[in-house]
Amino acid sequence: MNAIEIKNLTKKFKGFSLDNVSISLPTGCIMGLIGENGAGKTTVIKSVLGLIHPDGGKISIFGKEPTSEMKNDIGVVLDEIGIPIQFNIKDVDSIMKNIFTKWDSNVFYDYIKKFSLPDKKAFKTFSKGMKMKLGIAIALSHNAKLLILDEPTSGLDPLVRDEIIDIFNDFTRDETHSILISSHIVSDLEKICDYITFIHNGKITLCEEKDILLEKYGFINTSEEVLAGLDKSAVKGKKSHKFGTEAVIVREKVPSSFDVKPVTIEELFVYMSKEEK
Amino acid sequence: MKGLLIKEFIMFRKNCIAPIIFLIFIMFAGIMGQSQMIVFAPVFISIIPSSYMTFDETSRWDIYSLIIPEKRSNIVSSKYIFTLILISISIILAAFSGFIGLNINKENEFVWSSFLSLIEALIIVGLIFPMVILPFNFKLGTAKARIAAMIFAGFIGGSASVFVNSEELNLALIFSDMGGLLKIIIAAAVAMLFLISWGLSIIFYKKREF
Repeated sequence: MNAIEIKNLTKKFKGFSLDNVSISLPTGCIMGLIGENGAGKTTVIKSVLGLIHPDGGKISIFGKEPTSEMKNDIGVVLDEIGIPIQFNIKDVDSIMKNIFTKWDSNVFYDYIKKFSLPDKKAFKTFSKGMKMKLGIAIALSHNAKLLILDEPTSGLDPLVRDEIIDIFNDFTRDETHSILISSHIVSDLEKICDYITFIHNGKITLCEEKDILLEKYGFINTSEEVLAGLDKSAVKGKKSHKFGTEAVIVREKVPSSFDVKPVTIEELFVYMSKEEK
Repeated sequence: MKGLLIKEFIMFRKNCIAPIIFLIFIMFAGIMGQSQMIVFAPVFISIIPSSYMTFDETSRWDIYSLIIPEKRSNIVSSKYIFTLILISISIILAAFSGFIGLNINKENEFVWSSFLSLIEALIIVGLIFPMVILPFNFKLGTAKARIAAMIFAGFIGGSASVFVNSEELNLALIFSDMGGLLKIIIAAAVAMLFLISWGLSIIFYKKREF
């Protein structure tokens, strides 16, 4: 069963539209939604969470139409945690245990301790990293099976980001747990994701298992002339400078004489997005 | 819904000093025989839920409350229920101080029907502001609804001061002089309008996008 299934999702705004987006996140997997700012990542996530009403398409979570009750099984972390600024950890616990049916105060306080968050200070005194950790603690304290994370690591320093990535890795040790995570920090997603989805200008440009992507595509350093001699469909993106031309290519469409190096997801995303432009 | 109401009361606990001082002042005025002043108690208190919605938007709680397992209708209803609880408390306190004031100051004979009319007037003035403003807040957000709120708050404040300072327009006396049926009709109409406001807010909020 798929944790999330999106079929032909469309949503029109002034100057931007989400165009027939289809994504399937299998249960037990982590999918990274990668795109530049304004590509449509947040719009997809908002549609899944019911924050906006799609113009067309179908969304199902655990095989069913999303309902508010279903959010007991979903942990969400958005780029800004919406806790009132005067509230402290105890206030948050008092509220959440009366909202989530499976809220576990012990788990919550374990995370608070693990993250070294002050339990008596007001939320307004928290740093960006501390706020994000509190958001993650809430998301992980009600026995969620699915995490939906929108830019959870943006604005955080590398140490905190690494710590948070480890927590997400721990979460998916349970095979029934899944994560949909959006970010434009591709290196973070590369570390944890099983599936990678590229979104550009409101369209899905690529959706594939990460390992297959890394096998399928490669990186070459060559010249414009040599590149021009290749099959056009072999080149997924290129960048020319005075020392030559770098390109992301489809390995099987390039002669074996080429020195093809492994490509990173970040390179793949950058080169493909530039080509699309 | 319980969690949402707890959130509202925690918010009140953290911001209660000004309302409590104000209520003490109003109660003092009521006890001293200024029964017209107590009309300000529910008027002032009825503004609180709307101002908390501004706090919610500033902290992004308005979005957060949509990612937790609560229906949009529950989110709206929690605000209306919180409003009713606050107004009820303010009316009880105001009426209590008015009752003491009217009995201590024996210039005029205490008349139960006039006192009950005063309570009815308190309920009506308490419900008017949230009844009008909350649907705007739920449809447009508090920033855009602020203009409507300011105009209406000015209208309510101005009206209240007229009622307080005028012998002819004394709200309690007006209600006291009305026939029993008319009083019931007015009370029923205000209650009905409050329920319509509640329903409209739910409809608006269900359609709203974030």
